[in-house]
Amino acid sequence: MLTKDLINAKVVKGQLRPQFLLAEDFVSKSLAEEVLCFLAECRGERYGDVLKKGESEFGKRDKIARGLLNVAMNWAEQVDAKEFDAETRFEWFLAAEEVRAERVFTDVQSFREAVAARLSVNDTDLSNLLYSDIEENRIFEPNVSLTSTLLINEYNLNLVSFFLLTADQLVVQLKDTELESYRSLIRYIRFHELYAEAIPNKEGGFTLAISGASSVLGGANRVGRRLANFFGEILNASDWVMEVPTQFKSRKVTLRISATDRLVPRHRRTRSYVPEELKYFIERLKESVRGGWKVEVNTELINVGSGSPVLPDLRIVNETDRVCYLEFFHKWHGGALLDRMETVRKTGMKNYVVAVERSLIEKGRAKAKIGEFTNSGHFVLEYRDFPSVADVQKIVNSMP
Amino acid sequence: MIELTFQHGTIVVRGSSLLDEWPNTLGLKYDERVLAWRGHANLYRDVVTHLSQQKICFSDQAKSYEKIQQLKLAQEITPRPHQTQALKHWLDANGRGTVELPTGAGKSILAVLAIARIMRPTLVVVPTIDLLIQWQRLLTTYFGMEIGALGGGENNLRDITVATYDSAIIHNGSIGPRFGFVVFDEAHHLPAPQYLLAATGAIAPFRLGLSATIERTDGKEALVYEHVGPLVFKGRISDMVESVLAPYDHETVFTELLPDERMRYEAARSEYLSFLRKHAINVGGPQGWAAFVKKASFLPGGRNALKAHRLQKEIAQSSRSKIEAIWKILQSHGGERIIVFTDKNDFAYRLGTLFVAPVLTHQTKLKERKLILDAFREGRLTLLITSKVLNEGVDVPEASVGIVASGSAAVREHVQRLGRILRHQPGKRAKLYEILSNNTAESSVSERRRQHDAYQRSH
Repeated sequence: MLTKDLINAKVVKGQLRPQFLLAEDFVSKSLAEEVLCFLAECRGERYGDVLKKGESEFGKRDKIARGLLNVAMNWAEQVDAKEFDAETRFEWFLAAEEVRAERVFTDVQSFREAVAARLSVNDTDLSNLLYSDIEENRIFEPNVSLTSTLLINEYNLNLVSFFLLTADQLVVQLKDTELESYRSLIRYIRFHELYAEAIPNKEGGFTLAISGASSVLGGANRVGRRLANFFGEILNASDWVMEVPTQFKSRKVTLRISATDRLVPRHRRTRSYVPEELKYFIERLKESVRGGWKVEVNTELINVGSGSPVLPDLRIVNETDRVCYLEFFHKWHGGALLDRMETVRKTGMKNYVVAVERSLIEKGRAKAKIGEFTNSGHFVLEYRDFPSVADVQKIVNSMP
Repeated sequence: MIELTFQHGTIVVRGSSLLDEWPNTLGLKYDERVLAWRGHANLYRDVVTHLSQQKICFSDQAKSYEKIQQLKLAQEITPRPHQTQALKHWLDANGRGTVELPTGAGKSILAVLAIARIMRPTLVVVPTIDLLIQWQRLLTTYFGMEIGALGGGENNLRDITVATYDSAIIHNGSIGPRFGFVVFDEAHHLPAPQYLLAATGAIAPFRLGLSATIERTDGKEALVYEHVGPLVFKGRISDMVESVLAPYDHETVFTELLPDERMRYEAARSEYLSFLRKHAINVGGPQGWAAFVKKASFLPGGRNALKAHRLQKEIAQSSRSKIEAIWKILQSHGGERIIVFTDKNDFAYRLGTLFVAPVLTHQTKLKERKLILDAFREGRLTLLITSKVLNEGVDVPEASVGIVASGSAAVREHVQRLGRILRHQPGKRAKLYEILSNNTAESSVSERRRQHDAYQRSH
């Protein structure tokens, strides 16, 4: 991770701009290549020696060179120098203990010679083997998959992470109008134990204000780490702008980065899978629904007051502006179903229908919860495999 | 009806209106994201007390523990007078408070007595894995039941569990509501921003902070008092020596730098000092060191001054004549259990390699730590070298000689190191050596770290 002294950023009109390196920039690319060549030459050396060598070669260079070295070193590995286990080491200690107990050695060297003789090893092996497994003595192995382009991208990501680590919220404006892509983003927000509020924006997408449970309380929290871990998911969106209130050199500033900075995610997110049967069912529903109802698919992110917006599969609107939301839960969505019922129950949204595959209802915990859910005036649509259009029609007609 | 829940180190109070006054006065804030009041989990006790006193009906879904009905000591404890007194003061403070007792004065036994009295699922939070193992062993002995462990690769929650600060924070989401009583061992660590969550993120109404040196140079012990409880009892080393702690002697050994070391030392020191003079930095003043580091980060020559400072310190701390001096001390205390303390791991490993002796650092794996510490306690090994991991808490009563080969100026570190050799044993007289490079900055460092009442008395 980049440390404070390696951070390269500027403040322009209250906006913090990390000084990203461009992979196509000749100077940056050469510098990255130089770092990688240096590390390749260090292959097989003691890690402690590589650290010292790196300090003498790059210590007096600018912070970009040192930063690239730091990032590349984090990608490297260290392997055990020689096979030497803790049990053998312990035996050596016991042997040395016996020799020392003789108390006849006036200097350290004569004591060491006596220990080496007792263990039938030479003095050099005694020195080299004893602590060969500690980090400084391990053998340096640079990461061969790290190219200059990757290194530059990794350096840029590290610059952003540095500021996120001390932040307690971020706001990301997403221009994607296909709301299906928000589903996995919301899933990751929940995975990282973060909260989000969705606000529709001018571009037809949504702006997500993301924070942690304790963000509203200030003080010591670990929200920054979660935001930094989550950040990679934003990079998977097609068009985005992120703003993070933070501090730089004791000044309150806003870190602002966007898709135009061309940061590349470490992992590509796969598109959400929508089963063919579900697509077919929705098409049929759109065509067949009666009584002035119109079916819209994935068109609204709703803040239900649980800290995590929900994206119902269907929004069914009546010409009298009555709205009914429908979300499908298949047999592999047990956990999500319990969460959703809890959320909907707490917020009292009577027009949010959970459509549940019957085998899920037959399971103990969900069964009891569904009972509580319907008793509090909420709607559940049961189906086997896939609901029928008639089932949906029936339930929307019964909506208050 | 009001509903209390626990979420990621916070408590959420639903069912109380935004216009209500009481949540505000208790320190809760209205969270519009979830349309409820929210506060750090440590406010749980205040909230529950308020609701109960005001006879407000509430559903408590935050707490996920019950009183332990069958918790008895498997081994009788006859507390020493200072332990009885400390326990009484802590109970009088409604089971929330901090106790400062010198190393070896029985802080762990005090915690055992408190756990037996409170009878709530208990989490003991410790700074190191060595202490985790030690506490687990002690609690198993006294309660005769399985004690859980969280940290060092273990994740086993039981009614009484020992966790490292790091693990307690990582698992805060799941353990925060699970325990009614939390014991913070070496509680002076708590004010570190990354550790504070261990206290703020737990709902435990009962809290006990233990430390031999609660006062911090930054004055942040106030945070311990705020989140754990006030200082309810303080025992001094000078009052306990010869009653519960071993008597001890202290000797300073001065060594000379070798000519080549002296030359490098003077060159590095002069570069460092000239930077300080040029930019009028007084490192001895309040925030002096922070000012130096800050200025060194952007002023020309700053990086070199920092490097020079590091180099001159390293030369003084690990000179070759120090090694000879340590060897002489080792030879003169044959058969006694000796711990050598260094400031840096590098020097510890250098000594370990030269003396073919075990070195304990953060890199020593759990299994090997156990092996080495057990052999040391049994007397199969008589020499241990460590940088900082043995500074605190680890119980090695058999150690009677301590050699401070190098260290920081922190009073706490020095007192804690002294504590390692002061554990009482019949007929034991401990000795602490401090080895200093003559005519170097180490002398002033030594003076500063000895400003504690343990050193104010003559021996």
